[in-house]
Amino acid sequence: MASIQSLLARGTVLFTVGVFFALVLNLLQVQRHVTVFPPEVLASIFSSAWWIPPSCGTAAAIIGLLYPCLDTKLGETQYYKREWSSVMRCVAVFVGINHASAKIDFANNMQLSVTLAAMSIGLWWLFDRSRSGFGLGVGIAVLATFVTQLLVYHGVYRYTEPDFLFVRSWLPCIFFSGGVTMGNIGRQLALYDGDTDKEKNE
Amino acid sequence: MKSFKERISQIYYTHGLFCASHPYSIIISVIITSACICYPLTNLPLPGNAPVKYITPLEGYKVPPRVQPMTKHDEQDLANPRWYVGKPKGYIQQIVFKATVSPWKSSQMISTDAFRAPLSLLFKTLEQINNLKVHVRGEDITLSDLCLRVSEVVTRGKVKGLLPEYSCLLVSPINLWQHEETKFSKDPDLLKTIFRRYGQPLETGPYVKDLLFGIPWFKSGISHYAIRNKERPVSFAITIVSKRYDPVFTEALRVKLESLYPETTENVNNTEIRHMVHYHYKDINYFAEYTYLFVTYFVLLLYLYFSVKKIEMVKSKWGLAISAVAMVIASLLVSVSICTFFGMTPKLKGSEIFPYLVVIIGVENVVVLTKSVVSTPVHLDVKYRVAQGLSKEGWFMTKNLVLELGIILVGFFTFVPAIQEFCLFAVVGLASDFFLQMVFFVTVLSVDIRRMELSDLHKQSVFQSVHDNQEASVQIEPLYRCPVASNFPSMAANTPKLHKSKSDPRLDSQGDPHGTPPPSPGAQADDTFFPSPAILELPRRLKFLYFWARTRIFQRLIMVCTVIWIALIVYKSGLVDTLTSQNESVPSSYPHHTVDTLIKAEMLAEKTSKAPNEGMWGMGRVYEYDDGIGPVEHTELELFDQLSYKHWQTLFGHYNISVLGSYVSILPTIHVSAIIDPDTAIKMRHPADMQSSTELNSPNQPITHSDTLKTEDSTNEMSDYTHMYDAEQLKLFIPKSEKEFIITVSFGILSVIVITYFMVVMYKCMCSRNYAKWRSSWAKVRRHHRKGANRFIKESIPLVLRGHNQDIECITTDGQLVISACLGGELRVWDSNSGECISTLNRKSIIPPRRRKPCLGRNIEDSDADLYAEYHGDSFGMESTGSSDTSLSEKSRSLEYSRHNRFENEPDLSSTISFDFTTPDPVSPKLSEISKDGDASGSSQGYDFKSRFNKVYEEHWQLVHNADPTTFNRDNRIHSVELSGHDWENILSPRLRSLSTGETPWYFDDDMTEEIVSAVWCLACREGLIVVGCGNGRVEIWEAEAGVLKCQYEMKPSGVTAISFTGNSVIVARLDGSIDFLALETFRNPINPPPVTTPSIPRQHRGHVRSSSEVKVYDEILRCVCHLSVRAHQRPINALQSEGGRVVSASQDHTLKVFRLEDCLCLYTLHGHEGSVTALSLDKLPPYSAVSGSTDGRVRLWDLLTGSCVYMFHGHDGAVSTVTSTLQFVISVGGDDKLCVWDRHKGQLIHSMSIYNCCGSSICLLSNSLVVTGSQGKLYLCDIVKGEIVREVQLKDSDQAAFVRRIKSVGSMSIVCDFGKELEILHFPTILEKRE
Repeated sequence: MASIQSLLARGTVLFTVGVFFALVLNLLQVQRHVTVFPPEVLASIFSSAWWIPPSCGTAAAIIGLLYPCLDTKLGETQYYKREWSSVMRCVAVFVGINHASAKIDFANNMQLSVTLAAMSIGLWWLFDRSRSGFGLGVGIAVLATFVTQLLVYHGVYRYTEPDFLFVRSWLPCIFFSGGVTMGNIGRQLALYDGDTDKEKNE
Repeated sequence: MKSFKERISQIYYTHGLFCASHPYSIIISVIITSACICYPLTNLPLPGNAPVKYITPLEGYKVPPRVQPMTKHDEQDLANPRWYVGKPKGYIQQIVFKATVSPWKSSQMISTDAFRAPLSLLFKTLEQINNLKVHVRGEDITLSDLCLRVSEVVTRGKVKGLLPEYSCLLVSPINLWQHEETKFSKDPDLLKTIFRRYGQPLETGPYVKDLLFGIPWFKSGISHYAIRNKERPVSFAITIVSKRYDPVFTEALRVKLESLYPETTENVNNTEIRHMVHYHYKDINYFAEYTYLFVTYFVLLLYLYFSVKKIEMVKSKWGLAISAVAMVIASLLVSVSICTFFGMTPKLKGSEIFPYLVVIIGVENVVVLTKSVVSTPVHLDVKYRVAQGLSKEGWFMTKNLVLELGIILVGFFTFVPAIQEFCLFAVVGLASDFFLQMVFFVTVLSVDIRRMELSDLHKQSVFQSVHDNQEASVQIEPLYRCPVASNFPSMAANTPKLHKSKSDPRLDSQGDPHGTPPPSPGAQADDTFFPSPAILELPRRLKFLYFWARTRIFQRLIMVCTVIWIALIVYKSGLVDTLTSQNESVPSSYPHHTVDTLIKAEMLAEKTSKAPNEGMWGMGRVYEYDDGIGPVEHTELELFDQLSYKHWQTLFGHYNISVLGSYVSILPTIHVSAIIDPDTAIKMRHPADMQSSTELNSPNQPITHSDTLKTEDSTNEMSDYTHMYDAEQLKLFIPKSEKEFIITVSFGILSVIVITYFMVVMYKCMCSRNYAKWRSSWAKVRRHHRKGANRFIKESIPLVLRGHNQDIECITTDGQLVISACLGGELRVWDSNSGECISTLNRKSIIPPRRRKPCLGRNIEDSDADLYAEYHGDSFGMESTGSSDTSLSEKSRSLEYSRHNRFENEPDLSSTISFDFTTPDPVSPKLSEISKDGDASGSSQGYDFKSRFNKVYEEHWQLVHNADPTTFNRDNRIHSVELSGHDWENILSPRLRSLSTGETPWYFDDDMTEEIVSAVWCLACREGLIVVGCGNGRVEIWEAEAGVLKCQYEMKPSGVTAISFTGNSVIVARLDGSIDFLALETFRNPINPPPVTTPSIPRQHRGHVRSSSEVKVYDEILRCVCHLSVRAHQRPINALQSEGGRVVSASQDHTLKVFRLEDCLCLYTLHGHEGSVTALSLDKLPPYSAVSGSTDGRVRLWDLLTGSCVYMFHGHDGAVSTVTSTLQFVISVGGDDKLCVWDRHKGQLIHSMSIYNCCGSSICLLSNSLVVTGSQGKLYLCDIVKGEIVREVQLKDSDQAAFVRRIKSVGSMSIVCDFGKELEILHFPTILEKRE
């Protein structure tokens, strides 16, 4: 019973975090005029693409719960001792990657994609270093990109300058690093839950 | 790889030691250093406030559209920044004047002439500009049509009158005089007017004068204290703000001005720059930007919070946290500052990248460092704690740093300028942060920990538990010791280098005929604190010389002077100037400069390289026109670039026009040069000018200010200043640029620090309080010099003492006597010099008197006490009726205990031996149980026990029998036991309590003897009396040389495990954990007058014996009285020693107990060991501390005065078998074949020597630096100061050779040791050989 409750609590937290990230990062993209939104930023966040933040939040919750679950299933030992500070570092780097993708002027899209890919791998190496994390991250990236492609194909959503089929080429990298970050947060939350469970048992 | 790691941790150790030793000086110097490095930042715009610059070509300029195109456009539009939309707030046209009065007639002219005439040009020029009419597209355009009309000035203060109102926004310096020429010409002091503060009292720059002059102030050439009378070019600008840009009008204006001032064409090419510069002031209220900034900062805050939260166990958590964060910020500032210093202009928005930089740099190291330092043993000195903590984490931190640098360096290969810039910042930031962590944070941490130690000193017990859990601390010798610190005596005592000289006087004592045992720190203490009179007599000047020589002040001074000299040479040679001037020229290579400027710069560079006096050249732009550039030539065409970044904002702000979120466009500046005839200038002079200048230029006026611009030809100047200095020479000493100035200042600060440091050292040297110590240290040094001889330790052939039939169990020494006991219970007394056996104490032949001689040795006075004691003793004896079995079982236990029976004599016993000292002995509880049973149910229980050990005992008796076949025939075991019961009854009927020797030694019948001969477990000897502790609980006192039994005490059946014999008291520790305090009483036969009770056994007594007539011996009767018997421990006592009025017992129950000798009171119980305490050693001299070792492998140093554990040394893997201590060291030998030497004052491991097969051997101190330890068939002589084995003495080379277990010193430099059945006496003579 307690486990379901804690699962729900974790899910809620992750969902909130996901929604929050979706809003903030979208804002960054808006600045760059990448996605099509009306110039009135405030209105755009709450009206036009209302379904994006919730779906991002759901995805975040799923990923965040999946990571610790996978860890226990595979029994993989974690490279790092989990600490909130390192999670925060991870989040900061993730935001930084997003920021870089939004703000920095690259010579061409190829360069942008390669740089972001390197950054994402660096993020994983710095804060995760588990094979399951990498696998899951890649899986998420592929799946999410595919879903986005589908959405754009059906005209639900549009990118101003698609260069990778219908979307931007850096999208998989962002998804990958987002997955790793969410996984980190999820693991940390799970750890916290485990601790409280232990305390309760004692 | 491992050695590399060790090397790194050693470096860290040294560094930590250094930092923690000089905390405050380091903190101050670090702060000064970073402040110096950050100084260039003051010229930099604050992060985030700098206007964004954007350049568009002048040709084809059109006002950008109102909105940014949303849909696809051509490349050009996409490249435009997002803010480049709509009309600018204003087009700014600057007209920069550069004017000078030339040629300068220094005889006729005064300094203010240089300003008045050029400024007066403005009146004429402005009139011309205002009247300019240009015909464009059929209409006449004047300036008033184009210009931006402004209304009222909104800011208060005197600005109101100075800036235009309800007219064109056109400002120039003459606004100061309200554009009125009469006002200007009547102004008596122009400079005062210029430098007056208008505006509000707390106004920050740009000031009104900056706005009016329109150029960076230092370029204007106007200085407040223009003392020197010379030609100076003056620059100023007219700033016109127009609301639209008309190229035709601008062109016409330029032509007009050029025609007005014909010199212009020669000095500048006004058409060179064909672009417009736009400055965008960012809008603060940009929602999206700030949301995400808020997010990043929030994440950053969380990160810092969670990181800093992990800092634990420090005095001031907040202080450390703040210093950690401050450090990160400081390192970022330093990074930015360094990057800009080397010519990089930050293009990224500071506030945006700041959080990422912090996250990349991180505070992980800080947390790790704190943890590591805090987890070091609490009882150590702070600096060693810091050093250890650092060294532990050194490798990890270095690895991380290299890794992070590597990752960031990858960023350079993205070839994206923004990322590269970020990476550059990050790399420099990381490096500077690492530096700060290592220097600043470590020091702050050490200060914090020191504070904590001070406040928590009384809470030591709390930390006890903490440092019990400590792992073995890393012991690292620092790479380099502070050269100054080693001069201080207190520290010098710790350095091994000086140990040698300290231990030298000790070696001298070997010639001492007294033959006192070596550990005699008293003599050494005398050496240290009372220098011998010969030294005191030395003349004062010699002392002074020695002082000089020792502190090496001259060498150091010369060294410092050399360094300064070299620095000066480098400085003079212009290297620094060249460097700074290179930095100056860096901006010229920036892309926004045109090709023309680049070419010009190159040409300049070529010129400089061709200049013959290269060393003197290269002073940057200051001397540029000396090389053919005219006085009014414009060298920098975009002066507005160097204006304060708030310049335009302020200017517009005065009219309440906000440029935030918008931009201003700056049109190419029109440059005007004017050369004014000196006569005109003189004509314009104000009468007050003349007056003030004559005052100022009085001949003795010193030069107080240097000019940045020097225009005069040198001949003129020479004529003016030859009476002061050579002007050219003077120039070298004046800082020419800001950077040069900074360098000079930092040089100055450095030298001040160095000088202060030396002053402090000098003061400490001279300080009267330390004078005595200093003197004593001179003495030492000198003695060392005077000796001039090398000491060698030789070894002699061992003297073998043969005689025992069984393995030797105990050895003790008394002066030159060696007393040994074998397993068979035979005691022999040897002379250590000759090696002959003086006497053999035949204990088997002795039986205590059945009946005590009535009242033979008793006084009438003590009868009551005696009687009571007798009753007591009787009852005690009754209780122990059934104890014969127990005593027998204990006998077997004694064999176990001795651990010697594994040798060839008694192989069968090995099955009952417990070698395992690490676990509590399982036999002992069993034993006590058995003895209880014996008490309760009598002998039937004993038979069971006997059957178990029967075989063993038969064997044993057999051996004894063999050993002495001539003595009486043996009955078997059962018989003896039967008899024993009978015997005990017999004995009990008389008094058991104390047995005195009667007239003759008592030779007794067979069965009795069998019972009495028991194994000797311990020996003590003092002044010719041997105290023997037996396995059956009896204590016998023998006269050594005569070999007669003086007295015996037999109250308890429990075996005697340790005896201490001091004064007239004998302290007996037993297997059952009890301690008996016995006193020896001497009685005289009452027949001999007078009957004296001597409380002690004085030398006199011994003298009696020695000089003995037989008669006298009878007179002296020794008695043993038990003062007190306490059950001190629950488990057997392993060791007991007494020194300085304290008795310390070490037991298997993990504790030690301290008793006071006088009243047998238990003072302390020392807890701390986690195993049976197996080894104990007491200081022979104050401070009378105790060293104990236990089966848990730890050695503890106790302070007996307070009963607290001073240090815990952990270095052994197995049980500690022996410990001993000198004044400086604690030496321990463990079952892991290691000999460890610890520093007693610092609690550090100094040496750990592996000695093959030495397990459990005892050690013996030869001198303060030499110990002897044994091994299988070998002896090792170790130098504990150097930590090496000096000599190895082979007693027998065989695998079967016996182990050397017991080593005692005899006299000085000689030892006696057991070797199987033999005793070996080794002498280690030292000889002095003259040094080459």
